[in-house]
Amino acid sequence: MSQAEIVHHSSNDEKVRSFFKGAAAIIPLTVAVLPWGILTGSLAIESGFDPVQSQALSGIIFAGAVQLAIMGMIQAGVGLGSILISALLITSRHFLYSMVMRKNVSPLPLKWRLALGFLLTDELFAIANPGQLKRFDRWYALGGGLCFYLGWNLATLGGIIAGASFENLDALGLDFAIAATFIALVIPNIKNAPVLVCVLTALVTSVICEVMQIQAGLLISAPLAMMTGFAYAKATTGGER
Amino acid sequence: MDTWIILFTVAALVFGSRFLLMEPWLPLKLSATVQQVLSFSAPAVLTAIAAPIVFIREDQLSLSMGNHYLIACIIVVFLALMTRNTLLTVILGMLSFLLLRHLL
Repeated sequence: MSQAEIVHHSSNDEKVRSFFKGAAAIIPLTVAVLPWGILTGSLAIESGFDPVQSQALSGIIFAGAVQLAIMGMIQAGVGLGSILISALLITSRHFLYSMVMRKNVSPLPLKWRLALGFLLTDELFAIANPGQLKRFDRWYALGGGLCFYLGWNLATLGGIIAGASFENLDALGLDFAIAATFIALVIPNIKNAPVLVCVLTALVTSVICEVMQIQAGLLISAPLAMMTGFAYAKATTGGER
Repeated sequence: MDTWIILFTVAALVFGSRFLLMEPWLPLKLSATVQQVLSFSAPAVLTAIAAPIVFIREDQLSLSMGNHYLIACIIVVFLALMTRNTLLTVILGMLSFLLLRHLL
């Protein structure tokens, strides 16, 4: 793999343009999570959090799956240790994202590392990972991250205001919106056999893990799929991609 | 336990998982091989999150026409291949999902 390519902007105009390009790129993903954000806000109220705490779940934790998991646990009076272990399992995929983004983000000044680190969700990773964004652009990543943050928090606010009146929102098949977005992002990236092998491995192993009710199936299926894709590339082309 | 303490502790944990490995002072050298393996991370993770949502209904593998998620997923794959436009694919995919739900 070649040295990380990084975009350097000379004018503010270009920075603003990149910022909005990043925001535009994440709009489809933001649209897909809006119902989830509403649900998260409404469930937080239902779980007995006050409105400020409910908003803070999205505002400071900013991780949908973790938020939903800990809400129930806090409500049930589970201890902090167990809450942290669950949160760690769910959030562990971010270690992978940051490892991938390391070569692009680690040379940036601290304020950029803090900002992009805080904003590094599944969705930001999906638009700003090196496979998707050939030349890393910090303004593009910031625009995408902030747009998504804003969307998630506004949706949460909507859910808080609506309160518990969205009881059957989760019966609408909101999870399909997430699946559809991820599929829509993956499909155009299947440009060669190794990526196809990786995707098929991820598909089969993640489904097997789920059927076997393995709690952290993602921690098994994702690395396995990555290594299988890599091994296939090595075996067929001598590792050239 | 004060709710705020729990919220801030969890927030710190989540932030740490996103931030730590990007820090330049961390002595983490990624070899060419590791970099190549990591280049597969996006399709691997995104597929591994999406596939169980599509294929599992009530803890069981569901490959029947009665699984709306599966049918809508096939539509999404076609849309993605034809339009190459994420927003259009997501919106049309959601519409077809909701239609399937009402019709079937």
